[in-house]
Amino acid sequence: MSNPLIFDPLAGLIAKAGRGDRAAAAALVKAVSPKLWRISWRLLRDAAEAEDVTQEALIRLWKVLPTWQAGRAKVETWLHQVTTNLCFDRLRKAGRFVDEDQAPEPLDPGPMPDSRLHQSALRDCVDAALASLPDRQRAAIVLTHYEELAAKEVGEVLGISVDAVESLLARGRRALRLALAPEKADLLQASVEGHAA
Amino acid sequence: MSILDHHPLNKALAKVLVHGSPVPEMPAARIEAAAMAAFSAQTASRPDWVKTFGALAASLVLGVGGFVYYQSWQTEQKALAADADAFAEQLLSTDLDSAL
Repeated sequence: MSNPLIFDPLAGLIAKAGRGDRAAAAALVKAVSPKLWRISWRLLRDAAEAEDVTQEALIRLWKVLPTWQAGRAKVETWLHQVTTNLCFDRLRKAGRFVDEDQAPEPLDPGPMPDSRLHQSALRDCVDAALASLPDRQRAAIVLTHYEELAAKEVGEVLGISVDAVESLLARGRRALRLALAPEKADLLQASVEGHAA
Repeated sequence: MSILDHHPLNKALAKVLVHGSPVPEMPAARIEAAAMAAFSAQTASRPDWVKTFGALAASLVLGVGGFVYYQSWQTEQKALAADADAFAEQLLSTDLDSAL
């Protein structure tokens, strides 16, 4: 059975850029690069590497443009997949990639003294908690919570089923909740203040 | 969004994540400049590549075609010369006067 055609809001720009239209290519870069940058930065935590990955993903887009088949896939989903894979490749090369089965089981850190943390300290806590996640769990959290992709799209990006995405998310969230438990009160307070601001 | 995503704990976690970890500003100018340079290089290189390949293919076709034609022409000339020689030979060896 053939897949139904997928509506892609960027299809027009893709077609024009494929014919060599510079303005369309520039518009495409403006439309997609911020998200690619955010995903790669959140997965790599390194601005220089995130910049390289964003550029590499765009160069790969130019290479597939002449043969891009409209209606087969959304270009953004394809780009997210390329970006995530490039990030995973870099993490693997640097020996920083952590698979789910290699990650230690998160431990409940228990009650902590009630100390109010500064905003920067809170940020460090969240960064550290995210960084401690296995990479595919982190990618699932980043794509779902930060980029607000649906589970189906996250599954397409990571090449897994929706059930597997839900499983990654559930494990990732559990690990984050445990890692951030000591700072829970500060974090919730900060998020309330952030909303009020 | 799945049912899991609507769990209050997950909503609280999402808020915490967003407020806890901002992404640094994207170096947009550098990324756009690099991407457009790559785009220009690709769109410029395609016709050049096509031209080069086309010229090579045309040279090859002309070269091979010319060679084959020359060979067949040469063979034909040799055959014609042989025919002419044979005819001349025949004429010389035939007693034309007696025949006439």
